[in-house]
Amino acid sequence: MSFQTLINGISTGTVYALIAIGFALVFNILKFSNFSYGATMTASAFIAYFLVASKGWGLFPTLVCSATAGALISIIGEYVGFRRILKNHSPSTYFFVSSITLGTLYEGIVTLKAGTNFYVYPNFFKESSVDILGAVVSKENIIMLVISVAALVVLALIIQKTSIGRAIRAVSFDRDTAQLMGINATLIIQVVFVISGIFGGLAGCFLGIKYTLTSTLGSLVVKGFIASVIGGLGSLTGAVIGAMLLGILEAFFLSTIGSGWATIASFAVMLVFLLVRPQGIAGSNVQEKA
Amino acid sequence: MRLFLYVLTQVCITLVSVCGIYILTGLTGMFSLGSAAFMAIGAYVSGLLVLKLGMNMYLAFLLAIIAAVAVGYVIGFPVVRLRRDYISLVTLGFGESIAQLILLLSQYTGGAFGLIGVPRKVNVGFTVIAAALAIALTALFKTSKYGRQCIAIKSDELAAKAMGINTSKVKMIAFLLSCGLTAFAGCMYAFYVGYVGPTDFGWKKSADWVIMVFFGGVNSLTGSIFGGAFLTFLPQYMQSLNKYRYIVYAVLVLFILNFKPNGIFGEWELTPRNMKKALKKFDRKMRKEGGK
Amino acid sequence: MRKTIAIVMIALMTLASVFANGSSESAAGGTITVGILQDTTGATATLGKSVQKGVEDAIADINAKGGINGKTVKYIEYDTAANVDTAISAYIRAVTVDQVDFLFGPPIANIVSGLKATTASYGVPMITFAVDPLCYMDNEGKIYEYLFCAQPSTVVQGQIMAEFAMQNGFKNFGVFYTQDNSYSLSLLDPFVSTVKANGGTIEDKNVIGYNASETDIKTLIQPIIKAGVDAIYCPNYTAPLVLIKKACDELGFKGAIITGLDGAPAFNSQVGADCSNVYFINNIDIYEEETAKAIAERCSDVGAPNKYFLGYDSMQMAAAVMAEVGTDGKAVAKALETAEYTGLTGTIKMDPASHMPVLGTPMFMYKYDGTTPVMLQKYPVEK
Repeated sequence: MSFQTLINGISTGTVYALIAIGFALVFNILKFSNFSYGATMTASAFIAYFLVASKGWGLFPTLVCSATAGALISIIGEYVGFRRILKNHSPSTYFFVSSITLGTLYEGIVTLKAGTNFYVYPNFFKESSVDILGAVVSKENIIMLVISVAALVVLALIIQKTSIGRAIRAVSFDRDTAQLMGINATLIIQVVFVISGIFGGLAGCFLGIKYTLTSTLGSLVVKGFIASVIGGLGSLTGAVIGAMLLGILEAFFLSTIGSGWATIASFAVMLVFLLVRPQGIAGSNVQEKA
Repeated sequence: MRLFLYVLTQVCITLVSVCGIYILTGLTGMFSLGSAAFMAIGAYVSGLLVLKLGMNMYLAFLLAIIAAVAVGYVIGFPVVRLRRDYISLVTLGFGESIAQLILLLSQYTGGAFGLIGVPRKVNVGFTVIAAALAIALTALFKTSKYGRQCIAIKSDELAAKAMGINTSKVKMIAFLLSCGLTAFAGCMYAFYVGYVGPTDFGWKKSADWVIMVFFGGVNSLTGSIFGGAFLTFLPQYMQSLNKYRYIVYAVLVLFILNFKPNGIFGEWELTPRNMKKALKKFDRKMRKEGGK
Repeated sequence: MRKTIAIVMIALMTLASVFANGSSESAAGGTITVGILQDTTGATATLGKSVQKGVEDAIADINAKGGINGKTVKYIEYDTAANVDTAISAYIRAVTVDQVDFLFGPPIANIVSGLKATTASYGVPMITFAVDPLCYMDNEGKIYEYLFCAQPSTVVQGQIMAEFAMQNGFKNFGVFYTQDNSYSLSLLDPFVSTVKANGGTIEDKNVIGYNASETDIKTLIQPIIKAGVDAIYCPNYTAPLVLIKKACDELGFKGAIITGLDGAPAFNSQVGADCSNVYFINNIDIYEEETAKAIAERCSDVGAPNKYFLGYDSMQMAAAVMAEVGTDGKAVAKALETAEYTGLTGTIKMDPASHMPVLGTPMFMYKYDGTTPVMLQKYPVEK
């Protein structure tokens, strides 16, 4: 595997990591795989494109707009799709179906508003790439890496050091007990959805910059799903490591056996991994409740 | 009328696979995002056997179903041993891999062009009978020993194990039955439409089926059947509202999930006894109202 | 329980209403009904919508001039949702419930392949834009009577691109195609065989297929660029093309990129950077006066102008045929086999043996200068 391939793998992994984080956050607290997350990314990327980027306002306003949009959509989704189900104490499969449906709804609305044309974010950087030790890295990817790392550090600080973070950890560990201790679980769940939405918005915007903006962009959520499972469902560090590994693994397979076989090989590796270490890299913090 | 017959066929084929999903998700509580891949296996294997080897169609169906069940057995091995969340991941990855395999083996499968020119030998009658048989089979399974064990596993796997149920075995049986049914649906699809495309069997199709099951009532076979039929017919009404199709679909399902979480039918089943009960109730009510 | 009965009743009633043959007025003398069956949602909707707009505008123009033999043309839209199953039911709805006289099918080979067998049993002619010749014949090579294509086949396009590239001094080619896309696949062989027949080189290791869903183009295309080819042939859709162009630029590729119809504008504005190394083929000459005017006037919101013109011209061609022989499906199909029509894309001349336009139908090769397209050569070459 050449150095260039490794770099390419890492840069793909960075994007997967952003997706996986938002995914893992919601899993952490509600114990279900939120498939509406993909469409949330798409929708916020589109909103940012039409409101900000197409007016030529530069990268940071676009990111802020996209993150805000993501947070809004995410919290609306929580209210429409999950609040009642949570109240009814329905099994987790309901969350799952509800999230897929919610995703379909968002995607439908985006397609209705934006059509199925694809859009391209304006080039935010003059020179497109730089050389690092003989490998080409695009500037977009470096900025993405920096912003992703910054966002992750902030998130880790919030979760580890603040009282809200403590509450999030408490609710994710045992919602009922946390509620008895005087934590407003509904509020905490909302907060988590907002954070997850912010990550979704960032990821969507980055995806739009790295690739093109289409109404089916959200299907990449599957990669985040895989990454967060490899990492250990619900673990944030694990999700990041899983995403990086997945990105590098894919790049390695692509460069050796080509597209198509790479998908199959990645699947085989994942299967073996799940059988050998079902709790994921970081070890799952999800308790099997009987 | 011909349109009605075509859509009826679509519904019947969907119902066969919805039966499979009902056994898997409704009865056993397992979630598969790769069921559509078994439909692809059924469609491609039966189609290729007839096209390339000139085999009898019914024999090809049988072999295709056997092939799908065999593949199901291999993939089922990890599936029945893993946590529920992982099942959807494994089946998802499996589905994508099958799609890639079809593309890569293009000299047999036609690759991206799809499998063209499958003889269109399956007619409406065949699919109606097939759907009826599939429903009967599923109903039988539900009331059988295994069916009840499945329900036990779904509500509490640990307790089921403690009661002495061999959970991996029962889950495997449910999984294989589901694979067989979906593969059969695929066979019929190939021989009714006459064309099989490699991209028609993604995880979204599997997710659609799951939604159908939930729509009608995840605990009720009647409900699942109704969900399957209704949501397949629905797009036909909405031709003029094409653009809004998916939105309406999604809103409808969200409403059901939120306000009628057990689906339209809940646990109610369409059995002769329940029918009689309902009729009696209806009768009494009518009489009461008449008496006023 | 009453609720359940009510639900069942409602379901049955609506069922009955939908499948009833509601629109018998279309059979009346005053109108001709055209069905536009396109992918307006789903992955290929940009193309479908462009065709649809072209057909609609043509119908508006025809009606403005008094219709076809005094009959007004009306149209009904159908969506295939880029799905064979949906396409067939929409087709059957069009020909049985709505009783359309003529149909325009999608520009997607997979959908047409799925539809073709169905078209044989309803006797309604349909023009589609899928460029793969196999879409129009059954397993034995027999042509479907009611199915036509108004765009030169991929074989012709691939040959033209190969000939043109060889003439421009490129010798060593790499190929980067989408293996899960039948359009891309069907453009592959004609190009490769033409290049090889003319003495060019395409090494097997430099022919790389990939899936459109792949996220890492750089890793995939790297080996071709490292091999030092003169040009990379990329018969892909526009969205992947933008990514390919970006990846090539980042990896410092200096050679040319040769694309099909999909490299035509708005590709340049979507890349948003210098496209000087990109060559593409098109069915329209955007500098020809009338075409340029039409683009400026009508295509402001059209994703794929060339598909718009194809839609427009083929509707005009269909109208001309129907003006001559009436709306009987069999007669129209018979007349279409040998139809000839000169419109915005030049002269479309149908070939009865393939139901596709003959080689003489014009195609144009372009390249970009910066981001401005420059027309280089018209095919077939005029002597």
